[in-house]
Amino acid sequence: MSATVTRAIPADAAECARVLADAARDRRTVRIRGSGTKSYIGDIAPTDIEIGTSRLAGVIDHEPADLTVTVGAGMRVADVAAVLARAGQFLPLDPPHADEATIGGVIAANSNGVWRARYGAVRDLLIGTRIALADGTVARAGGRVVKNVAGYDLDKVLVGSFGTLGVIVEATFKVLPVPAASDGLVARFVRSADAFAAADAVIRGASRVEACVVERSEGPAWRLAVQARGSAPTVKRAVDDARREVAARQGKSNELGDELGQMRELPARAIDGALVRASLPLAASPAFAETAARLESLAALVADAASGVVRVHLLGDDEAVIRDAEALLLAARVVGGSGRIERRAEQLRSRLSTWPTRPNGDFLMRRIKDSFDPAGILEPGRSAFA
Amino acid sequence: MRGLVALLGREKVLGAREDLLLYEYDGAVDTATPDAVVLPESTADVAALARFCHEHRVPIVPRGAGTGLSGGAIPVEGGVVVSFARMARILEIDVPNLRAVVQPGLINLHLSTAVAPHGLYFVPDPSSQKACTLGGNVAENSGGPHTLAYGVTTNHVTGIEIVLSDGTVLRLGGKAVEDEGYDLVGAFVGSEGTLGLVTEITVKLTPLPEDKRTVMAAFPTMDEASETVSAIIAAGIVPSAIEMMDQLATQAVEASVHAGYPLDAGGILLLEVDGPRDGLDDARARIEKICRDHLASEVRVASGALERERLWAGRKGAFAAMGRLSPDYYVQDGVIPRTRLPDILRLVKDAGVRHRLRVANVFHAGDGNLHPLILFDSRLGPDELERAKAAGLEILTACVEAGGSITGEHGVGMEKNCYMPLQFQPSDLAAMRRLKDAFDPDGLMNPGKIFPTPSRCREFAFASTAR
Amino acid sequence: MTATPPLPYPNADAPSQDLIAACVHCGFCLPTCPTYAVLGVEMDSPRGRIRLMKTVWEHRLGADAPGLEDHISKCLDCRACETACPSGVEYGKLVEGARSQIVVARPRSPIERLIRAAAFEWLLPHRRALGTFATLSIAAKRLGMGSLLRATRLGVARRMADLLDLLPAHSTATRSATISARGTRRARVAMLEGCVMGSVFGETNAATARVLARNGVEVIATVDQTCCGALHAHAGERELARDLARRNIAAFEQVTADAVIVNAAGCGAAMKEYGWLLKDDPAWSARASAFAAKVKDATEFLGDLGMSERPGTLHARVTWDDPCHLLHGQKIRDQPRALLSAIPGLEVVPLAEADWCCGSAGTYNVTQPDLARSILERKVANIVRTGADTVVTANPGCLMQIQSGLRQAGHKVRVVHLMDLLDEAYRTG
Repeated sequence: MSATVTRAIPADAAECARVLADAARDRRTVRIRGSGTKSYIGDIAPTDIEIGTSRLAGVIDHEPADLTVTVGAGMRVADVAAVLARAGQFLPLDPPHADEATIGGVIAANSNGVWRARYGAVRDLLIGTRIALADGTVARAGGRVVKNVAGYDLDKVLVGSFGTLGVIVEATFKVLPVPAASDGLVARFVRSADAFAAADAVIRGASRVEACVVERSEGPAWRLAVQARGSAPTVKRAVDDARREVAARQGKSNELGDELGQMRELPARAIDGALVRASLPLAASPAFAETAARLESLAALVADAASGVVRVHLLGDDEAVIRDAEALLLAARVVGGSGRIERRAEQLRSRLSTWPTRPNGDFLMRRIKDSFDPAGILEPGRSAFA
Repeated sequence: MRGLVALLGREKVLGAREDLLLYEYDGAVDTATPDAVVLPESTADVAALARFCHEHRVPIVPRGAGTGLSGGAIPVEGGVVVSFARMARILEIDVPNLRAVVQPGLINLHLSTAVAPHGLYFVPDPSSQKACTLGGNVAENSGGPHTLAYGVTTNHVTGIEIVLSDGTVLRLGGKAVEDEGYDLVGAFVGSEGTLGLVTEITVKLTPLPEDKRTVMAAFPTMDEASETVSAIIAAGIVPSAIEMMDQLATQAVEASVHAGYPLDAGGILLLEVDGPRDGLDDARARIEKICRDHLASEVRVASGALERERLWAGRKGAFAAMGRLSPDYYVQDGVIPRTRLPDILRLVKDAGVRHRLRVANVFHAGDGNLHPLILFDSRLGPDELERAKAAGLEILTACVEAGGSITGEHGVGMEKNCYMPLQFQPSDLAAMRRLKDAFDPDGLMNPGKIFPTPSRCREFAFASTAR
Repeated sequence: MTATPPLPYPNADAPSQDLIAACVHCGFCLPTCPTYAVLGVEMDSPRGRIRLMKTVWEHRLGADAPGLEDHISKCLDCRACETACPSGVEYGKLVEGARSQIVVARPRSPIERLIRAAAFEWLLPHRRALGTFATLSIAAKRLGMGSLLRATRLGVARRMADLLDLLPAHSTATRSATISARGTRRARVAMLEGCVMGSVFGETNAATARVLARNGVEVIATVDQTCCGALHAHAGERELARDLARRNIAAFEQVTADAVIVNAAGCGAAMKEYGWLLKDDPAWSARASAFAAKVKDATEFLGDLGMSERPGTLHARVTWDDPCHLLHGQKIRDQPRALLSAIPGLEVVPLAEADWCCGSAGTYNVTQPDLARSILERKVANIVRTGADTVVTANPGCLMQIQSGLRQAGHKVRVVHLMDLLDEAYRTG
């Protein structure tokens, strides 16, 4: 058990692949750890080996004019941001656990923040990876150029695969120049319908916002946070438009502080109770949020209006939390979406599985898993299709 | 043949010699004649066909409009070509969810036209968008001029219904942006028909930009045009499109659509910025200034929708207009890091000279996606195509050595599968093979594509190139 | 010396290999082809048909292959593909070339030969004969022969009935005489009277002349002109088409005119190609080219000349349908639209797929009745969607076809030639 966990911190891809090959030969299970910020996801138990990625760090290639960056997977997202900032650029990803999360972890967990509205998700920004595989080889997927359709898009399969197919050792992303201006607003609404309607109008409007998130936390009020970045005139236009949409629905606008950061970090705070994460068709979010608002254990709700990803934090009596979590997962499926229990308190682990139902195509996922990891050593408990 | 007719009916199966001869080509240079052509009208037809082919171990090759540029729809190992020409309906326009559900035979532009009254459009706009199908776009992960800012097909597909080679019908993803488990939708898009047949597609619809500014700039040579591209990016401007064209291409285009490109320019840039009206003129002015700083002899801003359309019609019809210069062309699709543009363009020119062939260039400069059009005349003998392919291989090799890719949007197909080892190590290809085996363990889906085949690739036994 | 291999096509009218070589098989033409839209097969697309022609040159297919005839004759020859083609493939010339070879290569039944001879050699070139036929047919129609023929449930009879449906209820054949210009003479033109136009739509000819005269154009009379030969060329009867072309060239050479005005788009397109038709005839090729350069569609001529007199007001919601041989065959798009917009009081609404064929296409109704009907239904649906009470076009085939389609679908929408509408406007003004 945990007493015998072997820790390996490979210095490069080849060493990482050797560790995996040895583990596969000996049928010893492997957990992959970056900063360990998302160890709550999955139905996991201790493994025989833990591979740390901290030495697979550093900028491998950054040619600013190409608008791409290649980094080691163990590098923290915050450190990548610091390097890019010196060149006047940024990686348009703002995952939760902003200070600690590593590149590899963000890819493996498909960990996205609130910037999806403008820049897309991990799957849209990642253009290449190198992975160490359980057969001891190192494979490359994608490349270092922004457009590339040579062969299969294995990068997509890796995003959200939780390390079940191999260890991501290196990744290449698209980056962007830092916009000249930034502004935003936060608004309060009495009714959720108004908050969502305002958000929807912002998303569909002519001006393009970076983030557009609806939140409900303490009290019965709903908050809408909108942020825009770009050239000064476009930012002004976006905030003016948003303010008008808010006012048209009896909302009250204020200047934006760090509300978006708090909303984004909900998974980091949701230590107790359960955190349900649902991915919904856009127009289903308001009804889903209404449903959540009626649950007795609702503690907080954060809905990304641009992507339809809604997180609901449930707190309270275990029985109520379990009942409410199951109700939300069912509601997500009913409206044509899907969901998972992203995080839950220790005592709920045995009673709430992360993935209580199997996704469509689970048999294909199983075949893919088996062909990459025939010995089944990689990240047990982190397969949605198991 | 008889079995297929019994299964699907006479109206959905073609087998006459003159019919089969017309399914041996697409928009590129390779040909092969199918054993039969099937025109399904429903997912059930496709599933029945797949079961039949699975039982008889017959290859299946999907085909949209046959506009592809890598031989993806060519039945190189024989078998049944499945034309989706009769599965071309829009099944649903879902405005609240910003999605459309369509059949694979739908023409790309028809979707954008249909949703335009709702103020929406489908972003990927390959140059063949007036003719190419959504099914083909999914297979090839098609791009287009405006993917610089908005991404390619895979960024705009959230759900698919597919039929596997054993006839299993499977719905993956949906209207939500993601599903639990592996991203099989992402794996399928760009798989060139080698993993299964797509029978229904759910795509994102995007609000139309409020306004656009389109700028055409003419430069003395391609060098100044290339440097302008880098300077614009360096200035922190990300246009929605940056297209480049050389003089030979300009001549072909002008003979065809009279887009108004100056014929004496060595290089032409077509740039577009779009979005909220505020700020567009500011961006346009900055672009204009950078162009002039780089010796642009003419900078023209489209005065309205009509002129913009004309400028774009020239660009989008450029490949097809090559017929005015030469009966045949072989187009390459290599990608390079943007910063390597000037060197590689010189190399492209040299390759043409060396092989005694004219080369026109029309390409997506913003994302470094080259399209050298190598002109030849097959009527002069088989040597012409061979020289064209030799020149193409030199160009692709240079692209890979510069850190790029052998294909940015046209796909590998049967045209470049032998070149895959240029870009990928055996371990890389083995990883892809695992995905293939999971979806299509019997290897019936579009065989002879993407992966090098021993029979056809013997002469390309490259030593694996180091990266 | 090696022996020259036998020509895969029967004669020199074969589709030109150089024209075929311009096709890079990009597929841009497919979505513009009405038969591809209905049938969805490559063989019934322009790209496919060109490929068929090419495979014959490559000796992979015989010029007498039944599939070749089937697919080449299903082509409407609407030439929408030419407008769509970035490489400038001259598809119309190719398909007419292919048809000429099929006519020679394929043996036909005696009845088929007889019908073709009657139509192409006797009826069309002789206006009096056509006039008689038209009068008889219209009489038959007014006597309710259509329903009678349909009641027989015979395929041939049904097609005859459909054909009757196409004809207008009244024939107004007239012969033109010189009409002098009103006011200062700005131009002097001769006019093709046309076989169908003259026999069935004679009033339109008179209207055209009046409209031109109103705008300072003298319309002079000609003698001995005949059918333009367009239908012959489309059907592959190249020699007959050449005979007619020579007769017309000779007839119009007898008068001095700035232009030869044609108000039937199909005829105009054919006459503009007399140079190509007679290119291998040394005695005529130069004369043919000179003549072709003078040919102008009435809308093109008046549109380019500009209207000197403002028409009177008409109250109607109208929509314009491009005749294929005007838009695709002659690349005339803006002039008729400008003329229509010049009539005060009209509400002009755009027609979706105005650039699509209505399915008339010469004798297509008779040779491909099912396809013609599908294509017509699509056109009718688009017209109905505009809510227009009047459809304006500029070709007799289109007029008859659209009229018939609307009537069969039970819609009371007027179909009128642009020249008739202009004439009407001038009369009110």
